[in-house]
Parts: sequence; C-alpha cells; structure tokens
Amino acid sequence: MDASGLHIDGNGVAGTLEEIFTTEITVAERICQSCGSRAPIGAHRAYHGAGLVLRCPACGDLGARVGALGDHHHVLELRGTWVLARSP
Amino acid sequence: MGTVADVQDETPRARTIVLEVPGWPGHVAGMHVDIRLTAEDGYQAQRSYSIASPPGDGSVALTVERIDDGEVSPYLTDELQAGDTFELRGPIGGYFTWHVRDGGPLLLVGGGSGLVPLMAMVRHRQRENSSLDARLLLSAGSWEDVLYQDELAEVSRQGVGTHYTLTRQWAADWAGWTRRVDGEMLRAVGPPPAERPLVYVCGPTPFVEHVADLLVALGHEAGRVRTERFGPTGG
Repeated sequence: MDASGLHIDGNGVAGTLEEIFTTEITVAERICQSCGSRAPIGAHRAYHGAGLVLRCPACGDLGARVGALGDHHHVLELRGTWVLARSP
Repeated sequence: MGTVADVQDETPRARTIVLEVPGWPGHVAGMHVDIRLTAEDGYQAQRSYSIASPPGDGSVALTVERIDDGEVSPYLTDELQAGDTFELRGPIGGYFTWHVRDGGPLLLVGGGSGLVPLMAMVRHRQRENSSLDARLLLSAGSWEDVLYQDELAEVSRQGVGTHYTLTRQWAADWAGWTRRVDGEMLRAVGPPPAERPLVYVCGPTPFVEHVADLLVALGHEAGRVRTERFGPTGG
C-alpha cells in the first residue's frame, strides 16, 4: 500500500503507545509476520485517524491497531513478534 | 503541567517557548512532548512538539512554527505569554534520539522546522565539548524561514558542517544551493556511507520520505537512518 503522504513514524506516536504499554516502547523491535523484517517500533509507519495503525516499514503489513474512545485507548490487535526484552 | 517562563521570536512564523516543568525527569536530544489544549467547551486538541533545548538545561524549550489554519500552533505562537500554563506530557520517544555516547559521525538533515530536534542534538554536542564529526543539511523555503541563524553560524565556526538549500526564494548573492535535496547534495555534504554515519532526518512527511530514499540509494544502511515525520495533522 502506498499512503506515504499520510503517515508519520512510530516514534511520533510514542506518547500514545506509552499510555498503552506504560513504558517507552519505540526502541523495542517487532518482527513482521509477513515479510520477516525486524524493525524498531519507532521506525514503523504510523497512521492516525479515529484510532492508530502501525505498519511494517518494509512491506506495510499490519503491526497494530489501536482504537480510541474518549481519553482511553483500547488495543484491538497486535500482530507479528514484539521483542520487548529490555536491557537491565 | 508546564509554565511559560519566556517566549522568543525566532522568525516571522516561529517562536521559542521556554517552559518550567516541575518534576521534569530530564530528556535526550531528539525527544518531544505532547501538548494538550482544552477549550472552555471541553474540546481538546493535542499536538507533538520537538524539544529544542539540550539535556541538562533545567528548563525545556520548544520551537513552534505557526500553521495558519492549525488548531494549536497559532495559540502557541501568537497568544501564549510568560506565566501561562498548559497540559504537557513528556519527555517522549526513545528512538529518534542521540547522545554523544552513541557516537558518529553524525549527519542531520532537516526540512524547515524539522531543524528543531536536530538543533537539540547540535546543542548537546556543543555542551559536551564533543569534537565528533557532525554535519547539518537544512532545506528551507527562504533564508527568512531558517531558525537559529546566529547560533548556526557560531556552531559552524566551532566545527559543525552547516549546509543550506533554499527552495522557494533566495537573494541574488545567495551562495548556497537552490533546489530540492538530491543525491549530489547529500554526497557533497557527506560523510560517505562507508563511514557509517548515524543519520537523523526530520521534516514534513514527503521531505523525509524523499531524503530517506536518497540516503538508502546512496548506500547508507537503513538501520542507521532514523526519521521523524511531521505528518498531515500539523498545526
């Protein structure tokens, strides 16, 4: 898919992601279930609308869908392998 | 909450807002804050703004460019005064960040006010007295739009390579480039891909897209090119 004029970076929605994961998440990596590429969440494409969609920076496949209702965010879907290991 | 300590005009369209934020945990150059404004009827608008000040300043400076039909930026650039307070969340984002211990060489490519987080990196380098190879390429519509002009001239004298291209309007005696960023320009600015520079690109989405594609085509490692796009919901 090509909507390059519309998206920002995962880093740009770090505040919303921090609300959901209660920690800074943009340096964590995700392995795409479609193309197998591994990329930091901050390097993913982020699409803002009624909610938030994260897509693989290599192939554009879906990584996360987040719905918003008022002040609360509700994760609807996470896809691929999220590598959340953090160094001590 | 942030309290405005000072406001400084940077260009006819941009202003730096210096904030006192109680309990500020400190930040890394490249991070941003989310600002939320609430109208009397409860309507809320939230925007992200990059931090312009380096870590360790005590206060937090944001530089905001006015988007004429924006919901937030005209308030920040035209109406905000010292002593005002507003809701602020941050510092945010660990990915688009640079600290001297991350090393270099460093290549910073900014489009318009995309210079702001890159300037935090330059200021951090200066504050740490680092002699690390650092180069900046800034694309702006006209010279009048270029932020931090005096400070950029100063850091240029102190060893930061500063390069400019003006895309809309320039003086007859302008000696810099006058076109969109292209591969030839990036080659001239360097450092070459073989030196594996850490590259940070910030600006409007089409600008960042264009520059990131050029960098990868030149042979820079995609994993060492970090991007920050403004996106369509500016203002």
